[in-house]
Amino acid sequence: MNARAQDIADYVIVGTGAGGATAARVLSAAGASVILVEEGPALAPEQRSAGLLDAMSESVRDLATVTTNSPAPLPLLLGRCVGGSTAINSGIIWRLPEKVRALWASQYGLHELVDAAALDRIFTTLEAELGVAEVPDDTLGGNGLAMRRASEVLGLPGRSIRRNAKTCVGNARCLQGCPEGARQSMDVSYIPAAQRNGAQLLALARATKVLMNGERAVGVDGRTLDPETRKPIGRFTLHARRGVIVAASAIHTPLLLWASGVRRNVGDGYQAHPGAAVVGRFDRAIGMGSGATQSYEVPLPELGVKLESIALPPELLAARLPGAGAQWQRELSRLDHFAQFCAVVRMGARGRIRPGLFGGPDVRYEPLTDDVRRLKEGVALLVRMMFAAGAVEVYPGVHSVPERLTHPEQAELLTSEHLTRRDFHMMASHHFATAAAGVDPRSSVVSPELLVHGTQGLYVMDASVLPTNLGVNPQHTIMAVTWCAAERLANTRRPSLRAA
Amino acid sequence: MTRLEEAWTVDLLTAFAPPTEPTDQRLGPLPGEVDYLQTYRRMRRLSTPLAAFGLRAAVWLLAWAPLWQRGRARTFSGLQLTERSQLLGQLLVHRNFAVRELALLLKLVAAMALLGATGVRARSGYDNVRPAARAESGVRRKLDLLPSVQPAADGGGASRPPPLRRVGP
Repeated sequence: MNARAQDIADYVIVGTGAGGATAARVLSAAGASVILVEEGPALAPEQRSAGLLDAMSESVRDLATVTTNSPAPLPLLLGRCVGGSTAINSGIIWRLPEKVRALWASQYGLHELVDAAALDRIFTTLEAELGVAEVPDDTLGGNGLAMRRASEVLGLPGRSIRRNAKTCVGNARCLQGCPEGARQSMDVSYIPAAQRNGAQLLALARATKVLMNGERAVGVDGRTLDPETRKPIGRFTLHARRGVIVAASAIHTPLLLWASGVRRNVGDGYQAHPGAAVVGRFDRAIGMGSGATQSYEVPLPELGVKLESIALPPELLAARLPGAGAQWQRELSRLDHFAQFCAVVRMGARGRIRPGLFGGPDVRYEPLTDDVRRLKEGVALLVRMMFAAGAVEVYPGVHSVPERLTHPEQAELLTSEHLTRRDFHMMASHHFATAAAGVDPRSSVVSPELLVHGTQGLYVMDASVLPTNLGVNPQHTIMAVTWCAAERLANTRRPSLRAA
Repeated sequence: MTRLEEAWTVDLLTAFAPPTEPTDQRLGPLPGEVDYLQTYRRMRRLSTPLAAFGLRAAVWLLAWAPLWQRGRARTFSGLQLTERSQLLGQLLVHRNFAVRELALLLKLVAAMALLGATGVRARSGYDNVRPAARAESGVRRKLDLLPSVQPAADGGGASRPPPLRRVGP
């Protein structure tokens, strides 16, 4: 274990996703010593497999079989590798919507954390450092072009997505991990940057407990994991001189805090952006396998829904097509004739997360009636869009509705009151608010400085601290909020570290 | 898993896409091209304990589907190949949520195994060049940069992140 010799640092950071890596980048640049702990492996871009099962077994937590604990389980997509979920997402970068920012400032007292001018400066810096740019036309891909055409035909407010992948060559392999290293996920951007500043990275190491000395966080205990089996093979203890930063995701940060004796409000208030997808069959090649995985979108904030083009690897696309036997096999013989759009909903539902059996999370979450209504409207619009793009058949993937729709008017079927949440196949990849920030310790977990209430030196810097969901992809906001807090930490804790 | 369970698993997964001839219009594996059982075992091993249980429960549930779905005193393996596929099609849209979700779970395993095979994937057309898509993108393509301002062939270092700045305003 290489980091054993480096078992003391100013800060120990648990997690290497958008939050942990950004904290490491800021603190290490300010002269602090940092150790990053990551449960998953470190994977170089050239190690990324095109095969979905190989890729997911390396970088996705439990093959995305972590689900909510409910009668109709909702799968939760979570990265587990160096870079966290930034290494398996589509690199979508949108700033925190002003309405949400204003809500956080006024209702949760986060005026300083989300100060408009400070955020603008940080967003601008992040965008410059990570090469954020709009997807150019030549990497929109057939899937994105289909959505753009639909948007134009129906007069919807579509736009090309902004991503942190300026040099993307459009191989539609974001989920498997970019083999070109073009997407500036944390494993190819801020973690190497922090390492150049002296940060240590300990991969295949699962933090099991934050060590507390009274109210003060003084280190992290954990287990090292076998690279093949992921079974524990050893133990580690990392001591922190100045603090421990927990950034293990909105799903797993609460579990670590819980295991460390920090429980007040922890895991409460969980929010997400669940979504469902629609597939269209065209009478010509569309080319889902080329272009950016996600390249075009139609934001509908008044409905609380965002419609996105999303290319699937062939394994998932195949599973998504209806039927079995000869019927299914005919579909499989023309896998280049399909496009897929999804509707992601800013759901109002709140859930909670607790430690579950076998060490995993027990996620209690159920969409509200109004959430499902908005999902239906979003999916119905996707059906219309797919026909507008030229699809000859649309597969809504909704139980109680015909497997194959042949006319746009059939979109009405998707808004039927008889359809329930169980009729839709949803998945959630954005998770929030399980260690929410706020000024009031009675209703929040961390202070506006992201310090856990009632402790010293124990910080949370990931999507857990965001008090609500956003309606847009959260990576940029997680990074900006973390940057703000880490910068303040560097400047106030140790003035000598203050940057020029 | 017992040998019986393994045999059921192979029969179930194979029935989603039975082997086809190379000249067939339908996509299917050539004999021996896909190792369904290995994929199933691997997915069980990598899944949460609950999902691993679900995968096993799915095999048992679907193996006995001829009995509880059609009232026939035989297992799935006792059906003709075309009947197996028809039955799977019915289970995938079954009125009972658990039945259709467990059937879908096995379909996902079958798809992972099938499209995970290089030859099958190549025959699926997924990775074909898409002339229609490219022509369409040309309609609204932005003007090309002049040669003098085009980035270097190696990306001009753009594949690496720009230099990092020190912290602070």
